[in-house]
Amino acid sequence: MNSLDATPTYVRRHLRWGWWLLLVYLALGIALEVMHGFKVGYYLSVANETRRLMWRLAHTHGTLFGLLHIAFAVTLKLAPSDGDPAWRRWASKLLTAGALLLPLGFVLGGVIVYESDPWIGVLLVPVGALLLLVAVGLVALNATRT
Amino acid sequence: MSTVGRPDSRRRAWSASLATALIAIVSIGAAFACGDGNFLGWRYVVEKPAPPTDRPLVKPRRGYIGSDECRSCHASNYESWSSSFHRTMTRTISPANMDADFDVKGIEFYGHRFEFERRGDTYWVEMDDPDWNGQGERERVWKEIVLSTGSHNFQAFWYASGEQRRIDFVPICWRIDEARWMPVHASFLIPPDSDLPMRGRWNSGCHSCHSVAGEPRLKHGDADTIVAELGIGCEACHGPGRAHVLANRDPVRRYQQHASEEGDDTIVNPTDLVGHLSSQVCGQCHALTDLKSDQQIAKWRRTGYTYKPGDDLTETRAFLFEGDSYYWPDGMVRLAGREFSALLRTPCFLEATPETAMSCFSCHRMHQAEDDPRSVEEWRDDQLKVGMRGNTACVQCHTEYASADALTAHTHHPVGPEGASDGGDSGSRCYDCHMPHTSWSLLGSIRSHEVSSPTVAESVRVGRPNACNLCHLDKTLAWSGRWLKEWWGVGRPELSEDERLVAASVLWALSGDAAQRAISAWHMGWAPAQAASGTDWMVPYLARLLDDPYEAVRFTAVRSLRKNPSATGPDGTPFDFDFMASEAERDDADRGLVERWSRGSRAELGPVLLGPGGALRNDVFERLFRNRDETPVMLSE
Repeated sequence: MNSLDATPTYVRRHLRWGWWLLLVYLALGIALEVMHGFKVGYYLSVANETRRLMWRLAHTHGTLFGLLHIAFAVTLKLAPSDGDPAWRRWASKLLTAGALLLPLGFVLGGVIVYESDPWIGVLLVPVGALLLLVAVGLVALNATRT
Repeated sequence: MSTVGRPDSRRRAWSASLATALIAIVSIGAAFACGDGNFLGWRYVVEKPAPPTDRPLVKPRRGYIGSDECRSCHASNYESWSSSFHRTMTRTISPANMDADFDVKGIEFYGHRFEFERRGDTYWVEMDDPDWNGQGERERVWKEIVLSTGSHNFQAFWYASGEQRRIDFVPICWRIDEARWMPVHASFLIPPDSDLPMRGRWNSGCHSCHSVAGEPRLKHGDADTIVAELGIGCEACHGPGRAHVLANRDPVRRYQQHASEEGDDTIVNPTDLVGHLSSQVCGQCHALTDLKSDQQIAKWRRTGYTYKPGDDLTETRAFLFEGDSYYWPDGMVRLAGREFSALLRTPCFLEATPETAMSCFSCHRMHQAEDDPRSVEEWRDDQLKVGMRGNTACVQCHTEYASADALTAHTHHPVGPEGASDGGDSGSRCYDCHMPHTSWSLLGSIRSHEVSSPTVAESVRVGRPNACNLCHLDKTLAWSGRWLKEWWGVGRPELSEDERLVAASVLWALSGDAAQRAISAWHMGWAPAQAASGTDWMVPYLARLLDDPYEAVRFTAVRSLRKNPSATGPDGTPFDFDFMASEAERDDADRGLVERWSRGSRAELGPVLLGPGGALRNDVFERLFRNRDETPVMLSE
């Protein structure tokens, strides 16, 4: 392996992101379960259906993206690149930003709801989704190349 | 061929394939999301079976879309509407929508027998052929029930007549709280010998208010009725929703609306309408009205009412205040379900500016509030706002009575433990004096929605029981007149000897017309009146009303006797009796009950005809009874 290889740095970074995201969004899942258990109207009433949807989506996406970070770290470990190629730098940044923004958008979208419409913070979702799509595309293309 | 370029061409092929697949997935998703159930000629929505042709056709049109379309955006309001009796005013028949007992093994009223049968998910009634022409023997026929009306007090049923989309009334209905069948005739306060129209009644009348955007399409006794939705759906009050749905597919517009103080001009919100237009939304059904011209009537027979929420109802309809027996002689409506007619004569409505006038929404709320602590069942009974069962309803404007001292000074009655907003059991409750139960609903008195002040004159000149004597049942009109004069300076009319000496409720029960008898009987079972007047003396009067010619009066007498401790059986069981029993059985029940009651000891009480030793003064009792007002009364919603 090249001495300038930055792979271990990326692996550590994404493992760190992955496990922290898992911790945060699994905790959110537990909080949602608790609200179910105590039949909290703020989360469960019909008027708050949109909030419920938003936060469930935040929980599932946040957890999934935690796993995606770990999968990315494993991918880098299994197929290391020489040096610090641009695709990996970009994929790492975009994956990090996307996995942060998308579930956060769902969380914010559920804080205030207008009947069926979430709060404007939900706009982070398409931004995050786009960043993630590009990041995953970069990884997929490079996985194909190698 | 060189092998050097092969990996590159393979990568390009992979990339192209991936891009193509992504574009295809996005395109198909978009087509499904925005499509009409058809994608490149392939129908992915299963065709629904053609609707039956022998009953009203349900078909959203003319800008109406049906309440289900509202659900995805207005889940909370949809939910509360779903719980309301408005939604279930008209229902198709299915096991989920059937409240009545179809396991009962036949039932008979006035010599007409009815048999019931469930066949799969359909419900059938066997009865005497309703189309019998009087020639030969009347056949028995099975009819499939296709629609029902009501879910609060009654569930009434309709069968397909077989002539176009005309449906006819099944002559019996299910009384929900009594869990029993009874004739439809008995559910209204109508003369015993009157005919209730059963043929095509839904198509020619009921559908207008019991469905959305109904078109009767009446022609020569046939009906090709079409409605946008069965039951009183969202668009009955909010107007056609198609433009609203289409406009709000645009998320930018929606968020502009969320940020704006302005209402959405693509839909009507009745509470945002100015002044009288707001209550007219309710008034389109909750009022006695007539179309203004023969031309309008002819048009109605084809395409129904033209009024839509937000319109000025007075442009197409005239409000009625006289005619039939739906009104007290001074024009106050006494038929329930016509509360807007009453509101129109109320000073709080008439004498205020349009912006400050009392409206239906001053007290009622059609969608239960999120922070409403009451159960859905409690809210939906009258769809009142929180606190509006008490004095808050009036004190929200009449703030001068907000304190217990001020209220007591006005009412001369004690307030309840919670102060001015409470009003106690009665006496200091604004409603009980200013909105007494002088309207008749489906087998019960309900509050008049014409806010007025009690007078003895209204009882003497108009025949309407006054609020004082509806609580103080054991007191005379003279007694009420004295206190009304002393406390509020209300003038006293000339009274007859009976009016001076005999309790008003006794006069109404024995000598009144059917409406007075029914109202008197109902109040004898009303807890505040029982608390104020005692109950023991009521037994002979209610017993006599068990034998009343009007079924509704008998039904009410039975219900009040059940709440009367002095009517309990020898073994302590509460009184009960079938108000549909034969005349002989009713007579026996009257005699038996009075005989049992006579054995008890009681004090003399002149106004209720208890003479020395507590014995009933039969001479006066029978004299008053012989003077019963036989004027036909017809109070059918």
